[in-house]
Amino acid sequence: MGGKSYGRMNLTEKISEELGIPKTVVSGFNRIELSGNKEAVINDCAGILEYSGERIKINMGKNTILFSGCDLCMKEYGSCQARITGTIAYIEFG
Amino acid sequence: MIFQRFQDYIKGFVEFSARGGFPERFINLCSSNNIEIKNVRMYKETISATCNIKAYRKIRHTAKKAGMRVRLIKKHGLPFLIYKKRKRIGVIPGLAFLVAMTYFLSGYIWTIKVNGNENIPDEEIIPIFESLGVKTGIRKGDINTKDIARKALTETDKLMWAAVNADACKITIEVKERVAGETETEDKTPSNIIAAESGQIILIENFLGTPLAEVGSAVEKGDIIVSGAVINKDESVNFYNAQANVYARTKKIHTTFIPATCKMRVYEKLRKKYFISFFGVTFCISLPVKSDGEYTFSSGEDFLKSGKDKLPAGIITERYAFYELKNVKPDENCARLLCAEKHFRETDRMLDEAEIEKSTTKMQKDKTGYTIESVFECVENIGENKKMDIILENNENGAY
Repeated sequence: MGGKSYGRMNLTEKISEELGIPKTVVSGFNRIELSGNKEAVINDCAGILEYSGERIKINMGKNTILFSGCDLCMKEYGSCQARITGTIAYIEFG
Repeated sequence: MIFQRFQDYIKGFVEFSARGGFPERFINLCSSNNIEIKNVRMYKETISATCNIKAYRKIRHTAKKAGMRVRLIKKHGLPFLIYKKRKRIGVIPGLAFLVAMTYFLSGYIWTIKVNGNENIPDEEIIPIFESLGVKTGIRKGDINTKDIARKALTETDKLMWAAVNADACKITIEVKERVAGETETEDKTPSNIIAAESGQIILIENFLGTPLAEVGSAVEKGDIIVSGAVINKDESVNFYNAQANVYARTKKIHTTFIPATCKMRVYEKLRKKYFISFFGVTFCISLPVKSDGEYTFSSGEDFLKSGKDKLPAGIITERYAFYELKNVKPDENCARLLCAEKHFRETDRMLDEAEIEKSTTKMQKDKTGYTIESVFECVENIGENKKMDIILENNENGAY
């Protein structure tokens, strides 16, 4: 039809893609905001899996996210939002 | 960010550390129990974080579930400060007094400023408005600005327009000075220009009249230099108010004498009296001064200032210098100085409008005292108007 490849997308994702609706609204993906490599804000966290000054692993429901770096600090942590600051070296999704 | 910090300070927050147990479980339990923790750091199996007072009360129970021991490191914020100073009973009444005073004094006028004046000084304008009730220390609500501005214009003819603006605790008086127009009241009384001093004429600037003296001629005091009578071609005579500048070289001699023994003021003691002025209310803070004898009085004021604006709080000092009149024989230097000071003061007044070409001064001393004599050769305008006496006589034909 349009030459697009949907890969492993399910029906909901296909519809949101076609209609231009943000995936965080339709599919329930977590929203992550990065400010360079100094700050990350994650919405809708399910819990902390690992916490240290070099590694912070957060459960986001459908998958996990690991922040690695140095001087990592959780500035705020609540049911709706977590804010991590420090020097983020890399981010891994699991 | 700053606002958030300010808010945290007002509500109060604590720094705590937790060790042992399961840190991640502790953080998750805090989140699920709606305990907001911030600035979470991990160092060698010890978590340090901050939370508000309400959250801290619940944290111990949560930490126990995660197997952690919580320790309070530091308390921050206004609630702790107030609790710490609770025994200082003067703090709250002092704060209340400060707020009340600020509120109360904000209803009064603190400073008065004048704008728009160029030639008339502030010291001449402000008293006009003070007499109408505009002064520091009055209540803002007690003045009717429009009424006062209108009345001020009737008090003086130097102002063309005035407005009084009350803004917060300041009054600004806006004025516009009256521009003096040309006076059309010309004196038309027939008069001559006569010599006010004896001298030798060096220049006559004649505007109206018939000159009777020439440049270079010597004139005595009272001589007519320019006549107001002008003879026309048809031999009729018109009488005018003669106008001319007559510059002449004159010689003036002035002598000043100071006796050897004279009555002088000998100052013996100085007494001061202090007053505190606060918003127009003045009260004395020193002992009264007994007026035993003659004295000279002077006063000075020292008010607080905010930039260039004078605030309505300050100290007024009155000085009373008591003296006695005594026959004193001043020493030679002092007498010479006194004589010279008096002499030059008098000659300065005498020769105010003259240009001095040459002067010689001599001082003499004798048994009776000191004399200074100065001879001045100067150039000055000696022309002076004098009303003409016109006598009309009938001729044989009955005409004048």
